[in-house]
Amino acid sequence: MNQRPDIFHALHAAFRKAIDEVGIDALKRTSMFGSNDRAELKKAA
Amino acid sequence: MTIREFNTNLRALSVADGSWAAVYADWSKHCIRYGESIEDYAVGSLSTIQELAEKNEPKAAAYGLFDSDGNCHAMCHANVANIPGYKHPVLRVRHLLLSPDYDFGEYGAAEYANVLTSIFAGVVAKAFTDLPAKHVKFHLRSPADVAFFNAVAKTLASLPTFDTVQMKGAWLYLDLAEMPNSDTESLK
Repeated sequence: MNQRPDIFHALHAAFRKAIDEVGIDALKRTSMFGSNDRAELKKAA
Repeated sequence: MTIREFNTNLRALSVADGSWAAVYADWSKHCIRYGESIEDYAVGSLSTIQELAEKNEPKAAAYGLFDSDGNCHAMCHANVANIPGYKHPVLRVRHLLLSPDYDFGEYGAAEYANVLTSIFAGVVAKAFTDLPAKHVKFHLRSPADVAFFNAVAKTLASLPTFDTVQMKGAWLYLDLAEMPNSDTESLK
């Protein structure tokens, strides 16, 4: 297993904090989820 | 529940070596498990990432985030270029996409944080290794993305790794504190 450098630890902590702040629901509305991609395209059509 | 460990070194996905087809087939199985179809999943992003996987370009790649069992959990499109207005190369990341399991399944905050952090950190690490760049730009494709990454940017801005972190329109800008050199040992 790779040893994670400091940047990974720092980013991990930052992202976890951000997700805790905005909540999973906000995250699941992003385009990183493929079904939202489909919904966006339908809206644009 | 034990949180999955990912390989922090993102792997390039290629049509030529079969890695793209393997991931596509796996993600198709995910979709079928939830009564969905891969043809309808991320239709915009998947086709764009596949186009890059079909090419062999030195300064661009379709990257996948893999676990130790060889399963791909996320992918993205990345390229580095010299852009007018910048003294150093810029790494641009587009089409950040999580596997259908994260979309249709139900996970806890820790799992989502883990996969997102790993793909995000993995592609930022490419600025230190395969695609040297001082600036990293993430393209955000929806108002929900902008709202989410606005919160992320505020937290990231406090890290010493970055000189500045800011949102500009549909892009998240990360300026590294220093231009990385080609010494990759520190990231292994």
